[in-house]
Amino acid sequence: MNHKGRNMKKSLAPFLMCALVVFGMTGCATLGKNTDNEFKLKGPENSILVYGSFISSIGILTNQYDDMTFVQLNTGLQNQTVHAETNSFKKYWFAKDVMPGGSFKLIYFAEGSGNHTFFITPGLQGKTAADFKTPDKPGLFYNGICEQYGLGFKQDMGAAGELETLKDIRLKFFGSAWDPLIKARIGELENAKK
Amino acid sequence: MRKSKKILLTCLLVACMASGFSVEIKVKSPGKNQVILVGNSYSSSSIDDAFFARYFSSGKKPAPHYMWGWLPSVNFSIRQRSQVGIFGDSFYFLVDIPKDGKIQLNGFDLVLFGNEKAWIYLPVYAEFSVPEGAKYLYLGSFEYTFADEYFTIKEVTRSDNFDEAVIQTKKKFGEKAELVRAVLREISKEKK
Repeated sequence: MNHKGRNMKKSLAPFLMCALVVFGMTGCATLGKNTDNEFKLKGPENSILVYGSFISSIGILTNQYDDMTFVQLNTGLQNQTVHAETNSFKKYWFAKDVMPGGSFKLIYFAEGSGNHTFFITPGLQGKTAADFKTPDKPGLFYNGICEQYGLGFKQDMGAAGELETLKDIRLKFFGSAWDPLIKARIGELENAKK
Repeated sequence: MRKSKKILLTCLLVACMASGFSVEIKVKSPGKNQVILVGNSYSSSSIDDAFFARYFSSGKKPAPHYMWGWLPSVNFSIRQRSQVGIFGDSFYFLVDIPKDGKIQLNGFDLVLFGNEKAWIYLPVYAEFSVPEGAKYLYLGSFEYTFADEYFTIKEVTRSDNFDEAVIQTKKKFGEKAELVRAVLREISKEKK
C-alpha cells in the first residue's frame, strides 16, 4: 500500500467507529418484525385448531383481501399473529397451530357487499364474541357462530353449528395430523344428537 | 485532544441527541371562535412496547403512541378529528366553539405506534362550557387503568395539575397563552 492509502485508512477509522456506535444505539431501539418471541409450535400435540363461523351484517366475509387477522394480547406469553382462512359462502373460518392459553383479539377483517369492500379494524379494546381465549390443552377449539349485531357481535355456541362447521373444514384437513381429532369430534356431536 | 478523538466525541454527541429526539405534535394557535383543550393522559399500567411493536411497528425506530381527539356529532358521525398529542404527555386539541359554547367530549383514541389497527378508546364522557374569551381550556390529567389484556377500562381518574399545565402551555404557545380551568360535568348514560 502506498503512503496515501495508509493515511486514508487512518482518517476513515474514527468515522467507521462512529457509524458503528450510531447503528448500535439505534439498533437497541429496533423492533419491527422481530420474530424471536413468536410462537412457532405446530400440530395437534402442541397447538390448537380454532374454528367457527362468521356472519357479517352488511355482506359476506371476504377472503379476497388479506384475511381475518388475530393477535395474541397476553404479554406474559409469546407473540402470535393468526391469519385465519375463511370461506365466504359457507361462512366458516379456521386457523391451525394456534398457541394454547392465549388471549386472541380480532384486529382486521374485510367484508364485501356488492361492489364494495369494507376493511374493518375493531381495535385492541374489549373482548367480544369474535375474540377468543384458547384452552391450555392442545387440540380443537370451537368459537361458535359469531354474528355482527349492532356495533358488536352475538355468539351461538350450539352443537348444530359446530357439527356443520367441522364437516365443512374436514375436507381441508383430510389425511393430516388434525384429521383424527376432527373425525372424533364429529362422532361425538353426531352421537349426542341421537 | 487528537483529531480522531474529537470526531468520535462529536459523533457520539450527535447519536445521543438523535436517539433522544422526541416527537412534537404541531398544533395551530386558536383562531376566532376556537379554543384549545389542554390536559394529559397516561396509564397506571405500562404498555409493553417491545411486545406490541412486534405486531404493529416496522422500521428501525417505532413511532410513538399517538392520541387522536374527536368530537361526536349527530348521526353517530365524527367531527373535528385531529392528532392532539402523544400518550403520556400533554394533549392540545384545537376545536371550534359551538354557538352555545358547550362542548361534549366523549373520549380520545390512543393509537399504538400510529398504527390504525392498534387503537384503544380512552373515555372522558364530559361536557363543559367555554368561558367567554377563553382560548386555552384545561380539562385535567386523566389516568387510565386497564383491567385485563384486552385493555378493558377498569377506572378513569381525573386529577388537577393546572400549574404544570400552565407552564407547558406557555412553553408551547407563548407567554401570552392564558390557560383557564374548565368545569367538567359527567355526561349521563343516555347522552353517551
